[in-house]
Formats: sequence, C-alpha cells, structure tokens
Amino acid sequence: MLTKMVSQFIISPEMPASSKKAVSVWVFALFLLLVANGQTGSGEEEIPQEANIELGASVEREQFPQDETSTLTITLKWLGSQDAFEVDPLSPPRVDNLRIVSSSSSVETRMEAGEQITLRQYKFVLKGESEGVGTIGRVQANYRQTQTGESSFLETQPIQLEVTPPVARREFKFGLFFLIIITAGALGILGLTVYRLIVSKRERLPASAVEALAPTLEERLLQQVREVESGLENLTSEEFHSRARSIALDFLQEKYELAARSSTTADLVAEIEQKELPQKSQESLKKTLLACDEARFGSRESSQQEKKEVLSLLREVLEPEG
Amino acid sequence: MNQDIKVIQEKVERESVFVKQLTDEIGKVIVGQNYLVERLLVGLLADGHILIEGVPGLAKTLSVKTLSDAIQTKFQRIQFTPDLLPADLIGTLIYSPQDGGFTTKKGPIFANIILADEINRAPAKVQSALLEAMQERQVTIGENTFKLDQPFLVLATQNPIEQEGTYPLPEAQVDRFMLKLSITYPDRGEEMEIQNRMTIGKTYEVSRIISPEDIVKARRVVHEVYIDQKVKEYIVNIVMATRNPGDYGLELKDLIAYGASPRATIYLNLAGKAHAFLRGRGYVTPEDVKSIGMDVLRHRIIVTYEAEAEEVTSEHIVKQVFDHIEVP
Repeated sequence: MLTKMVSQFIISPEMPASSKKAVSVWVFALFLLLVANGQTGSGEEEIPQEANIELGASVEREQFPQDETSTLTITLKWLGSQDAFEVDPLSPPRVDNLRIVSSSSSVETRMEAGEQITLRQYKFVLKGESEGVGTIGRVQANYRQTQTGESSFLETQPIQLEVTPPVARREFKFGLFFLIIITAGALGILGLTVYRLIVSKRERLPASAVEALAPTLEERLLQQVREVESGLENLTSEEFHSRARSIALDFLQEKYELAARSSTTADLVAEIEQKELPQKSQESLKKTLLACDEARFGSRESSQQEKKEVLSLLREVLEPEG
Repeated sequence: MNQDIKVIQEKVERESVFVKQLTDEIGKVIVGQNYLVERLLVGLLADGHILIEGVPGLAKTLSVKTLSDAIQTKFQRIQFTPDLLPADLIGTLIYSPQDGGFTTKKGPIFANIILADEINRAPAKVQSALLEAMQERQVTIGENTFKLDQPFLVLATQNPIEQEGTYPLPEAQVDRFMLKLSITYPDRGEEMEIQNRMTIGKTYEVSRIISPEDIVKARRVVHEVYIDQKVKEYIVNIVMATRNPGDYGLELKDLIAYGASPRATIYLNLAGKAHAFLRGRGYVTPEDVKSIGMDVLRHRIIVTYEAEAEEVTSEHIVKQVFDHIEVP
C-alpha cells in the first residue's frame, strides 16, 4: 500500500510504461531495504526486527509508587543457538525522572515448536525520582550475525511510566504485623516456660516430701512383721512360714539384689555369706529360712513360741542395732 | 510336724546312719570325688542306673569298685568292646554232651553292681541287651527268665573325648539312666593328696559297712520320704519349662528340640528323696531337687542344631531353667 502511494508520488503520467515499471521495482526494493534495516517505524509498540532476530521491551508496571520499583525487561530473541549472533553489551537506557537501581542479564536457549530459540534478557530495576511521568529512552542492541558476518542493530521505542505518590505505609503495616506476631510468640513461649517451671516445681515438691517421709525397706518389712505378729493366732503354720520367708526374701532381693525367688535356701545361705551383713544378721537369716523350709516342706506344725522366735529372728535382721 | 512325717523322719535318721560311715570308708580309698560318691549313693538308694562321663583316670572304676566292696555286693566290670556279643553279657545255653541237654551259663550281668566300662564302644545289640536288663531287671536266656538280684545297679561310663569307632547311645536308651554324671578333675589339694596316697605302695582295704539287704531296706525308707505338693509342683514346673519354655518366660524355644520326658519327673522326685535321705531328712526340699536336677536332666534335653551352632549345651539350658523357675 505504502509502496503504491510512493510510486504514484514519484511516477509522472508522461513517463513511458517501461520507466514506470522500473521505478515501481526500485521503490519496492527500497522498501524491502528499509524493512531489513528495521526502520519501518510500524507503530509505537512494535519492536524493530529482522527476519530471525527480534528485540522487545516491557515494563513490569507502567504505574508505580515513588518508593517502589518497576522492572524494565529488554529481550533479544532469535532463532538458533546462542552462537548465531554476537550481541554487544547493552548500554543502560537513558531515563528521565527515574533511577536505575540495579541491572542483570541472562541467556536462555529453549525449543519452541521444534525450533531452537535463544533469549537474551536484560533487566533494569527502576525507581521513580519524583511524582509524575518517567521516561525510558530508546535502547539500541548492536549485533553481528556470526554466519554472514553482517552487523546491524535493533532499537526499542521510548516508554513512558507514571510515578505515583509513595505508599510505604503498607510495608510499615506488614512490619508491625510481623512484629506483633513475633512479640506474641515470644510472650507465649515465655509464659509456657514459666508455667512449666511452676508446674514441675509443684510436682517435685510433693515427690521429695513423700520421698523424705517414705518408709525405708527395713521399716516397711518391720511393718509386715508386726502385721504377721498381730494375726499370729489366725495363721496356720504353713501360712505363717510362707509370710516369714517372703519377708526374708524381699529383704535379700531388695537390699542385696539377689534373685531370691528363684533361689533355694542353700543358694541364699551361700550368697548371704558373701555379703557384707553382720554375722548375727547372717545367722538370723539362715535360721529363719531353715525354719521356714522345715515347716513348709516337712509339714511341721510350729508352736506359737516357735513362731515368735522366727519373728524375733526377722527383727534381728531388720533392726540389727535393736 | 505331722505325725506320719515325724515317723518318717525318725526312720530316715535311723536308717541313714550308714551314709556317713560309707562315705568315710570310701574316702579312705578315693580322694575327693565327693560328688561322684554321693551320686552313686543316690542311684543306689533310688534304684536308678547311672551314666558316668569323664576323661580316663578320674577314679570312676575305683569309686564304683570301692562302693561295691563297702556294700559287700557282687561286683562285675564289663569292658565294652566292638566285638562283644549279647551272650557275653547276659549268658548263654551250653550243650552238655553227658546228658544231651543244655545248661545255662549266666553272664556277668548277674551281679549287684555292674560297671559297663566304655559302653559306647560296643555295638547297638549289646547295648540293647544291657539296657533291656536295666529296664526289666530280668534276663531271658533260651526259654528261661532269670530275675536279677537286688540291688541291681548299672554304672556305665563313656569317654567324652574319643568318639571314633564308637556307637553313641540312642536318646531313648540314654533316657533309661536316672542320672548322667559329668566327672571333672580333682582340685589342687586333692591332686596333692592323691600323689601322697598312691605313691607309697600301700593298698587300702575297705570294710563292709552294710549288706545288700540293708540297701534294699534303705530304699524302702527312701520311697517313704515325704515330698510336699509344693515341691511336686516345682518339679513339674521345671520339666514343663523344658518342653514349653515360653510359658515360663524363658526364651529357649529355638534351642530345645525335645524337652525332658516323664521319666525326668519320676527321677527328679525319686532322686530328690534319695538326696534328702542322704542329708538325714524325712522330707524333700527344693534344694534336693535343684541339687540333683542337672544330673537328671542334662541327658534328657535334646538341643537343636541352632543351639549346637551357638555352642549352647543342654547343661546351659538346665541351668537357665533352674535359675528362672520360682522356688516354692
């Protein structure tokens, strides 16, 4: 359409037909050349491009608060591998009412529709200087086609952004929120710790008190001796000697950690002799166990006096110092 | 004490007087080996045969011979060899050309105390002949059956270290022995005493302490020894624990192939009574059972291959059982 209009402007009606045709061909060729050089200027948003390399520019936000940022992304995209084009380092764009906070670049190669695509991206983080319009100038990318050695460049269109008043209060609110959460958590942990300390102290106190008041092994067994003694008349010889033996075994088991329940009297007598037990206690224990064996296995009926003697022997063991 | 038990106690005290005299007499010849001598008496009193295992030279034969001499019984020692025949043991019928009939020639088994030396060196048929006589206490030669004299006690020995060319006794036959004793070396003091006594060219004579009739009488008293229900239950618990160890909280199931047979229960009871008798007691205590338990049980528990691989013997198992089962 454009070439037709240009041709009509150049060609006069008096020109011969062959000349008219020649001019038309030249105009079309010139148009193609212009397209190849990226100078078509086809719309503000259009990126100048060649047949197999494109340049694009985009911003993260066209409107952003003064105290926040917006990222400008310049993308060079071409068919083929990274080596297909050599791209000169990209100069930062000229900016107005904006400030480039940081920049970065990356190269990526990927497959799209069965073809290898290379993407080279340049990112510029921008911050508004003051409220109002901010401008990003053209960005020129100079490149050289590796295969042909031809050099050229592509250029982006200027971009305008709007810098709005700062809204940093929102960040402050988040900070406050987190501060509240952290403070609450810390207070909770502190409270829990204090509570546990109080509870454990409460629990410990009665335990230690009970421990302090708990009867010793000897006291406990002496209590059993007293119970047996109080019911002496009601106990058969078998029952009496079984209980007396049990008291003696409990003493040996708990005091000296002997496997008293699976030991015979002879085993226990041998063990007792190895323990640091007063001689009198040793003798008393032996006599007790033997008396119990005689009564329990020999079916011996003991008199009340004999039973009391057995209890007396047990007392000698449990109260060695009287 | 219960009147009946009191009577038994008195009988035991009266009849067991010979025990000390007998052991003292044996002690004149045998140094140490108190364990062996006591167990021989247990076997004698409980009417149970004994298998003795021990290396050569531990006075096994001498102990048995001395015991026999002290009782004034007929003693026979039979050396078991691979070429021994049953007839060599029990006797045979011999043709008499004078009257054309057969006369019975009794073998060495017709004695009161038999020492079957190295019983595992004779073939199975000879072992069977002896073990049958032990069980039945009678011998049949031809068409005649002969009761063996009382007391009849077989003491068999076997050497644990030379197993080549032997015929190990089958478990069923080993079970017929009441006790299996494991004899060990004397201690240092005993060794010195042996040296002092046996190197001066002096022979020791043993006096007759009791007669075979006294032994039979003592046996009757042993049978009367009181055994309380609690002790009987203790015995059953021990035997059952060898069969079902898990029921008694013992982790031995994988180590025991076969537990003790009912003979173990019977012999623990009888041997326990004999042990109590030797202590001059008319009743059995758990101590009697535990003392004799290892000798009654060690040959009645068959261990698994797993136990053998772990070098766990039946003795380990018996010990664990006794250590675990609650004493009444």
